[in-house]
Order: sequence, then structure tokens, then C-alpha cells
Amino acid sequence: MNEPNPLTRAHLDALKREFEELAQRQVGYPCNQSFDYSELTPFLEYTLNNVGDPFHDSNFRSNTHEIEREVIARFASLMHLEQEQAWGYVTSGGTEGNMYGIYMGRELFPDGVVYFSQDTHYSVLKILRVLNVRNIMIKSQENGEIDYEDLRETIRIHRDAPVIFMANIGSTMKGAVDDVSRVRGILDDLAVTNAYIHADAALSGMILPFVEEPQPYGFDAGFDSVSISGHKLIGCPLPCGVVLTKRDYVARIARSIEYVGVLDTTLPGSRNALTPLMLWYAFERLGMDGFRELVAEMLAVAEYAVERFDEFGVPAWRHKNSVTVVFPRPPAEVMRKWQIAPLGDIAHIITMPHVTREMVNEFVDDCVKQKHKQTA
Amino acid sequence: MNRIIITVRDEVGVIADISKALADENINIEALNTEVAGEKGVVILTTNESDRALRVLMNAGFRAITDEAMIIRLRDEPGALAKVAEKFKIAGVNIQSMHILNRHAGYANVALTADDEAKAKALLEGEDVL
Ligand SMILES: Cc1ncc(COP(=O)(O)O)c(C=O)c1O
Repeated sequence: MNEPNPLTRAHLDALKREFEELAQRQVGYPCNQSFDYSELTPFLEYTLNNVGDPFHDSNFRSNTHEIEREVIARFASLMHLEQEQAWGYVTSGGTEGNMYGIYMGRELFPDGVVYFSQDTHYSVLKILRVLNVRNIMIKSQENGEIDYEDLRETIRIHRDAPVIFMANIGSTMKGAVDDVSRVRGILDDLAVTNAYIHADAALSGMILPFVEEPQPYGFDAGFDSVSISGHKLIGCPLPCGVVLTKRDYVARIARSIEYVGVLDTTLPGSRNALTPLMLWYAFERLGMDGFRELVAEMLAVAEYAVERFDEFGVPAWRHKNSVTVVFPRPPAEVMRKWQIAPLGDIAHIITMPHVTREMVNEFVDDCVKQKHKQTA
Repeated sequence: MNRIIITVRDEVGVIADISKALADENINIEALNTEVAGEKGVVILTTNESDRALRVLMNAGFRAITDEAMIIRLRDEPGALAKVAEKFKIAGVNIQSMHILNRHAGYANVALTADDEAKAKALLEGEDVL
């Protein structure tokens, strides 16, 4: 291949410099930037495609289905789902996983009503619209968890309709975890037998399996499906995620198609074959102990951030087992310098592995300095 | 009629900011209830160019949506939403979607769609429909 012309080269160099710069100030998004996939660059030379169901042979053989199945097996054990019952695939990200989960719930219970909290990720509203499923938003408590009393009252009224519950396992803004055991309890109390729980565990799906005292999570706690991000905690240059559910459910909605000899069970046809490879590689390199250490350190840095804010009298807080540190919205100057996403009166930093104590110090100092400037 | 719903925080001058953002782009506001706008945490307006207005407002940093939904304002207290749901249930009107737009000054602004809009409107008589 030819070398790119100087103008193209200059563009690429400038773009790279920009990304390098931005990476230094990235504290507000839950994306782990500490990864090294250089071993996988040779795979960029092939036209790879994981079209269709990873658990069925495909006529398109340049795929990584086998590796994808290993990735699914890893996540199945993290989510306490028996291997024989486990089905899933590597998605394009959290949104696709959530769409799959709600789609599955809707297919199993076509007259179901989806219940979800106010703190649910905005993409869910779009999914509900696309799937045209009945849905009711339940208010959240101040800490971001769903309001269980409002949930109970609302389900009670619609008791005859199947319940499709969308649980936040680590909400976007506050890292809140909805208590699925409690939700199961409510469903039992109300004698609701037709129920489906989908868990949005974008970030915390990779935290809770590695802590001593996790909040209830996993298929043993009542999940029927779960969506977990790949580019968040694990870290990946390409957005991705996994969706996991039970084999029996999938069998009920599977439709066989002739075209490429695959079962049409995945939402997209052609699918990324590199992202399963990357996730697999991350697990191979770090191993379960590696992730345990990584998570412990992230939580320690989160606690450090709360303490630092506290020293300066800034009311910062975080949930148990959460790396999302919430504090009052800082002045605009701080937001210009750092990559953070405020919502209304609050903002957060998320102590992903690339966020060091030094970055936390600098960030807290900036917040305090700017605030003093404002009041002076 | 394509209404635009903007959720706002309690800030002075928010109506002026909205009007200016639209006027700068030559978009005319056809209807806007200025009396109560802002105070309720939500501003509802119609313009001569909904699609463009939506884009302009978003670019100006507002949280704006267009929605065919009915917007009601309820006291933000336990069970308030459930009570509305119950009314619909008893009348046999299916709620298609019920979303909290925001919670503001002790009230919740709620967007609601139902399978029978006319009946739904009748059911909401007496509520604070925006
Ligand atoms: C809790 C939660 N769910 C879903 C998503 C959407 O994921 P994605 O952007 O990968 O589609 C996010 C993204 O931030 C999230 O925080």
C-alpha cells in the first residue's frame, strides 16, 4: 500500500495529538483507558464477521464465534448462570444489550408493561419507543435507586399485566443499584407470576462479581437477562458489550433463516468479530485475580476522592461498591478543563483505572479554587 | 400541532433565553403560555418550524423534546403517579407510556400517552394538565 499523502498524514497526526490530550483530562466517563491490544493489530488485515448466533455454525467462516462463546462463558460464570443454560453474544454496547433484554421480555410477554426508574439511562426511552411496548417510569429516590413503594403501588394496579422490570445495576449518574431481591419480593407479595427482569449492569456488572459484599445481582438473584459493557470497565478501543440470557428463552424466539445458515437470534446480522477477540484477550491477560485487584484499586481511589472533597467541605458521596463519586456541579471553568458530564445540580467523576490519585488531587483543587474565585 | 416541551430549572430569564435562541434563527413562536412558563419547571411551545426549533434549542443547551403526549403536573408525593394509573385502569383505558419529565418545586411533570386519547383527556379533567 502507498504511504498516505502529507496532508492526510498531518490530519492523522493532529487527530492523534488531540486524543492524547483529551485522555489526560478524562475523569467523568466510565471508560477504562488503560489497555494494550497491540498484539491484536495483525487481525486488522482480515475481513472478519461474526454474523448471526455465536452458538451455531456459520457459512461465513472467518469469524471468532468460538472465542465469543468463551467470552460468554466467562460472563455467565460471573453472573451465576449455569453454562448449559447460558446464551448470549457480544453486542455493539450497552444500548444493544438493553434492547435485546427488553425485546426478549416483550416476546415472552407481549402484553407486558415495562417498569423502569427515572434514573435509567436515556437510551431506554428510545428502546421502548422502537419496541412499542407499554411502559411506566417510576420515580427514584434521592440516591438514585428506584422508589420501591411507588413501584409496588404501580404494579399492584396493573397486577394482571405481566411485569417486565428494567433494573439498574449501577445507574449512569449516581452508580445506584436497584435491589432485585426486593423487587422479586414485591412481585411475590402481589402474586405476579408472569415477570421478567432485565438488568442494565453496564458498569457494575464488572464490579459486583469482584467485591466482598455485593448487592444482590446475577441470575440466582432473579435476572432473566443482563447487559454489560465491554468498553467501560474492561476497556476497549471499540465500543462493545455482552448480553446474556437463558437458552430456553432464546429457543422460543429463534427463527431459522437459510441465507447464511445461521439462526436468526441476534439483533444485527453482520457483527464485529474483533470485539469478542479483544474481550477474550483482556480476560486472558488479567484473569479473575487481575480484575479483582483492578476493582479494589478503583474503589480505593473512589474513596480517596470522597475524602479529598470532604477535606475541603465539598459534600461528595458514593454508593457502596461504586466508583462513581457524586458532588455538586462545579463551575464552568472546571468543566471546560476536565471531561465530565453534569446533570442538573450534580456531577460525577468515575475512578476508572487510568484515574490516579494525582488526577483526583488536581481535579479537587480545581473545583475548590474556582469556587473560591467565584465567591471572592 | 407539534409541541415542543422543554424542561427547565428554576432560573430567571429562561423564557427570554428560549425566545432569543429561536428569534436569532428566525423561528417564530406561535404559542407559549408565558404566565406560568418556567415556574412549573417545564415550558411548552409551538413554533412555525418544529424540527429546526428543536435542533436550535438543543444546540443552545436546552433539554427539549417533541411529544404527542399529554403533560400533567402532579404533586410529588408517594403514590401520586399510581393514583393516576389507577384512574385509567378503572376506566379501562390502557396507558401506553408514562414518563416523569422532571421534578420541580414539589411537583412532578409527567408525560402520558394512552390508547384512547379522548377518554384519557376526559379522565384527566380536574388534574393540572399543561
Ligand atoms: C447504565 C448505562 N446503561 C446503558 C448505557 C448505554 O451504553 P452504550 O453507550 O454502550 O450503548 C450507559 C452508557 O453510559 C450506561 O451508563
